[in-house]
Amino acid sequence: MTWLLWLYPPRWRRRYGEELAALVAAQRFSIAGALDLLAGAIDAWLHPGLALADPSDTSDSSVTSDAKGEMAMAARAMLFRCAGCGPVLTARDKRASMLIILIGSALLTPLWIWALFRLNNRYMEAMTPMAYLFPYLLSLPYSTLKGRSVQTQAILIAGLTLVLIGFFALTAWIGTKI
Amino acid sequence: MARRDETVDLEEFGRFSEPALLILVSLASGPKHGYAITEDIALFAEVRFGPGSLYGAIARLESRGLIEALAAVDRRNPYRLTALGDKVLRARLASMQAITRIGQKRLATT
Repeated sequence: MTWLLWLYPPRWRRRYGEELAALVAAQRFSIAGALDLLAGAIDAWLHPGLALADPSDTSDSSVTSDAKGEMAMAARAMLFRCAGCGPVLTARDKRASMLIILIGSALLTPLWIWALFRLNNRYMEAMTPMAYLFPYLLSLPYSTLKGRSVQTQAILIAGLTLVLIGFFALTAWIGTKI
Repeated sequence: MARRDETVDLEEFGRFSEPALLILVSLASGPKHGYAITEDIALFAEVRFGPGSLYGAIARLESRGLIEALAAVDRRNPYRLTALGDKVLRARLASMQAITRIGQKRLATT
């Protein structure tokens, strides 16, 4: 099950990788354990600031441990938001995020309703929540994914979109079999 | 940021609040590494957290200054309660104790 640790962000693996691997290696494989690691990996990607502290990092010997502590705290202060430890959001970010969701939903919902009537397709019907979820995903660069590279944002948004489409298609397919 | 004040509320950790509380209780008896914490919690609370949940909670506790990592032993970092962690745990247990007392009193009168 240790291969699942590769799903964690590199910084997280550097900080907790070895001890997490030791813990995972001591346990028997289970679906629940694998899902727990998967959820942990998603959480680690969503909260990159959590793995900032590295007690073994002695790369800069000119910096005293007190100064390192202050630097770590300052870095965290820039990255953390309450206990969620997400990025710091400005009022502008919140407005942008909200507008993307509102305008995106307002545009996609009637389009979806029109498509449903035109196509009368079970799969199309199952994907109705995407009319809200897709604009939400598009708003992530202004909320949860703020501060990430454009490439990371694109991969995560495209990946999550595909996962959701797959999930809804699966529910529609199951519906045809029941 | 690692908020080193007395306003830390474990409830803010969301789904990690329960593992966080049990980790603090486990570390109250002395420093332990991840595996030892899991075994200890399984013993006294009869709950076994998955590694993802455990380290999600450990990372949050560490980032808020409630626990701190000690020098690595055998590639594993033991963690210990900080003074703030001790204070937060005491406050939390006192609050739970008060709720338990009230609940038991009310049940006794019904």
